Amino acid sequence: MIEVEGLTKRFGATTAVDDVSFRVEDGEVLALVGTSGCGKSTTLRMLNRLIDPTEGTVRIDGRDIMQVPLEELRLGIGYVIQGVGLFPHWTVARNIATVPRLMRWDRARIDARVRELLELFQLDPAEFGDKYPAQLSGGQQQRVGVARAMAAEPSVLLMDEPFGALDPVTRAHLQDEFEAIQRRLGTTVILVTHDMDEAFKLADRIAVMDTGRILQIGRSELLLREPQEGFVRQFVGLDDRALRILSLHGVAEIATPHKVEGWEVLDGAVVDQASGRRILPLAPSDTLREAASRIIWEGADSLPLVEAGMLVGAVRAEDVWRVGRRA
Amino acid sequence: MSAGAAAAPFRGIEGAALVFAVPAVAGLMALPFLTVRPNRIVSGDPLYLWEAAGGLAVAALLAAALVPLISGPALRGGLSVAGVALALFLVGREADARLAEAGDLARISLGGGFWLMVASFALAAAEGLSRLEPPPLLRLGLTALMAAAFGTALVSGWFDGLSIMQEYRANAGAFRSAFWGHLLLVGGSLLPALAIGLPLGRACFASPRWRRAAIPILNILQTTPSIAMFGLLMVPLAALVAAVPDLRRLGVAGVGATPALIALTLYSLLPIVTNTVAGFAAIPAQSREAGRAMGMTRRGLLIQVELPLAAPIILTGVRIVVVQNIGLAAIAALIGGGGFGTLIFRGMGQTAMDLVLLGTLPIVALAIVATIVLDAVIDLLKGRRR
Repeated sequence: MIEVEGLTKRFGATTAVDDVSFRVEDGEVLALVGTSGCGKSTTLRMLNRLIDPTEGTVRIDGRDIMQVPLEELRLGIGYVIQGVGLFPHWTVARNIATVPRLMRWDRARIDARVRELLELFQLDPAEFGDKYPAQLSGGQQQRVGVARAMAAEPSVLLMDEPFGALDPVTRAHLQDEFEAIQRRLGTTVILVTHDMDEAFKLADRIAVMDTGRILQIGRSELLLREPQEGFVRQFVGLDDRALRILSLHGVAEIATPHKVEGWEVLDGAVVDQASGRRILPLAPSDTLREAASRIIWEGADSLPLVEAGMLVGAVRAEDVWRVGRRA
Repeated sequence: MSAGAAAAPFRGIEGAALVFAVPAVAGLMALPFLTVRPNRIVSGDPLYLWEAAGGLAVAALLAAALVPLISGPALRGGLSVAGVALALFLVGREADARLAEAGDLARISLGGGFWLMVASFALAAAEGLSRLEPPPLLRLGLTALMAAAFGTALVSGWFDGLSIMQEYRANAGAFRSAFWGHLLLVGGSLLPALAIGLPLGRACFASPRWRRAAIPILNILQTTPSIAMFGLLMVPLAALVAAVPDLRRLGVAGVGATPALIALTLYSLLPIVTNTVAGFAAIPAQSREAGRAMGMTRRGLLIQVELPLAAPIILTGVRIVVVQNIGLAAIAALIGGGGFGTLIFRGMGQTAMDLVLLGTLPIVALAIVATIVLDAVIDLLKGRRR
């Protein structure tokens, strides 16, 4: 658990971070969002003391970070740097091994851990272990950057624009991958980003910052349903808020177990026997946003939900609309 | 240079090469290849390359005319290396032949034609081979191979007919001590220069105030003429030894190796400091921040991240210093500092050009070898990380 209280950083006359307080529970993902220069990166960098705070306290698992020896503190916190920052003179394996080596793990344990992480991030250890960062694509470098931060199994992971500077397809893929890994390991994450979509996709809660202050903090859906007047409203973007709310929910939440008459599963697709049309079914991992899009496209009142080749239920349009509707 | 031109060496003519080939051939015709003197004192008769016996001399002339015109760098470079070897072969054979005719007192000296042939082929070889961009280990291997071939010819007595080798036999002891003295001057100034220059460079990188204070001073040191530097050092050193006589037992003196080592060290500081500053400045800020954020200590960050990343640029400074000091160390002989300069200045005093050459050629060879080796080391360090 991370507890931040009254955190303030002044550089001369300017106040970069102004009386910021928040808590992050174990296994939770908090996103700090805002425009450039809003103080989100400075806040993050005070948590592992790359910058020392002017005022305020930070406690990680109950310990005041100013009381922990600097190197010990940093060894226990994973950090994904903006712009990746891999060491160009070290191989991928050596980069990932940075913190374990500093912690003096034995060789066999380090090798095993490096291999495990490369596999976790879908990089073949035999192919990528001995490559140098310059030989990797942007997406591969970002993967290695995240793997390096997670190498010594830190309970806390700080990420500064971790998936920036990537094309949208690669970024979405990496976000999915990271989300799955984070859920599995239960790592506590604080993520800095200026990309609202990334925040909604990865974070449990979002803190919107402007001019060094947290304007609003809360669960993602709260920010969409009840955004504060002014900057938050503008930054969160309310034009497509119904769709964004839908994207926070999975189809499994509202699927009805009863089957609609006249559907038949055939070769992975569902055939509507009355019209003879093939309907691409929904999968349990789909969000309601995807369901809404497909309902509109098919012009249907409901869509089939198929799991492992079996028709397990239906998602009805009226239920989707109800989730996205204002309270 | 396109791959097509490399595959078909005679397809095109290197325009620039003509500028070199024409005067080289004219020079080879007009300048003596060797000079034959009945004894050490009198002036001699020229022996031209076209007077030399056998078809090889004609081949050498033709090669000097044609090889630079080949547009394929591999063939041009390779044949140019062969051209240097041919010049060395001819000079040894002709010297032995003339010595047999003219008697044991005769002196066979290297002439302008020989130097022209070696220089033009060596330039063409360096140019052609460097276009191939051979990997560093191959460069080191080729250098070792050529050095070994030349060394074998030298030891086997191939050049013994030449006056420079007669001069060597007469001065073998002095040559050996000059060699070690020279290495001592170069190595003995490099170590203190690194010990001072690296921390100073790091400080100058971190603090603009240090930079503003140190760089102008080092600039002034660098531009001080070497004779003036020796003079400036002799007085305080002599005074120091007078004040603390025990220092004399350590070899400190107003003249000799001490002021020479100090002067060479001072001359080394500017390149090492400025390259250290540049090396540290070239470290990506993200690498430094990543190292800090992962919990490296300042020392760990310096050793594991900063120095390895700055090393290629710092070593470029070391290469500049080593090559510069190999040349500068010759002056040390003026104040009794030893090194190959002793042979050069003695030769100048006796107007014995062969003795001057005996001091000069090893300096040139050392500088070339140092450049090739250090360049290869720098490229090896850069490795695959580019």
